[in-house]
Amino acid sequence: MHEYSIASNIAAIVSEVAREQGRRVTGATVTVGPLSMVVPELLHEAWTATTAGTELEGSKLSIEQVPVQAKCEDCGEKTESFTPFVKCEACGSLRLKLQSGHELQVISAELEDSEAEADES
Amino acid sequence: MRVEVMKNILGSNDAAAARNRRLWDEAGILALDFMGSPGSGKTSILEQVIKQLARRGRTVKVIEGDVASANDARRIEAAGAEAFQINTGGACHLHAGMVSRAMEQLGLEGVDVLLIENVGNLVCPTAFLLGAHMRFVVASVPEGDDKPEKYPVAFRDADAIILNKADLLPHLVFDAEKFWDLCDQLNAQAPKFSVSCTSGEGIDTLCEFIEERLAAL
Repeated sequence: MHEYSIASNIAAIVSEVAREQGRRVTGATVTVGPLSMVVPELLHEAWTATTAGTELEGSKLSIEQVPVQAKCEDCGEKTESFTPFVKCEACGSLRLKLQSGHELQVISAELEDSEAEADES
Repeated sequence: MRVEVMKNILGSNDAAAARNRRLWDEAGILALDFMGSPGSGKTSILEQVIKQLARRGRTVKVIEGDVASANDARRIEAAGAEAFQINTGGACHLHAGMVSRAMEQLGLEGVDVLLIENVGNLVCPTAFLLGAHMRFVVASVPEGDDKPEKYPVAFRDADAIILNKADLLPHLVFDAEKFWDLCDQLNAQAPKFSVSCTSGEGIDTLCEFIEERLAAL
């Protein structure tokens, strides 16, 4: 259940963006690789709990899951996996060179339109 | 309005881990982080390592991470090393900032080796680097020989692997060859140690390895 730590780190990052921009954050998009061992459903729950009663309450967390990409060191085949239990799809080996899968990044933040912009539209 | 952020979610932890590492490097301290399931014998290994390293004239201090209680810190102090107990109060892993604060309390003067026992868990601590020079993953014979397959990230990301309670091998259904083969597949480079804190087997080899790492700092 490290999702709570992850959620509070995301909140800290997007709160800083809100301060810099002088606007309220209404959403955040993050990428999560399977090797981070983050369970998206639990991260959503943690986000709701962490942001409750803060300026981020009600903001939407979008989680983009990215796969583990690996190359088998035994047979050379490439494998993609959305779980941490990655094996070579061709030969079943665990001897893999991992190219990605540890991702944990805040990609973007959605900010509330300023009043001036809202009037224009 | 959408703004691009592109920031590592664990960036603040990674930065704190890098600060820890700088501090240890400057002070010539070898820092080792031990991760494993509850009951795998992390504290027992630490007790053995402390006693052996003390015989070799080394000063060892310990940071203990647990959800609650100071039981482990008391065991460590009885084994002869000063310890600081972190109670995470529910959190399932240590993070680098907790370790920095613990170090301030513990003091680093004259320390050769700092041992950090992470919260008993094979999942959550993997993403949270503490800055240690090496992370050991500890498994034990009663846990079963398929442990690496069930927790591949912990075994893949470890810098060294310890199989504890090796004295139980003749008594339990545990295929050591299978266990080490899984470890080799997941992490060929990691040094691997088979130890028992009851019989003492393998502790020498482990301490010899720690000495080598200390000399190489």
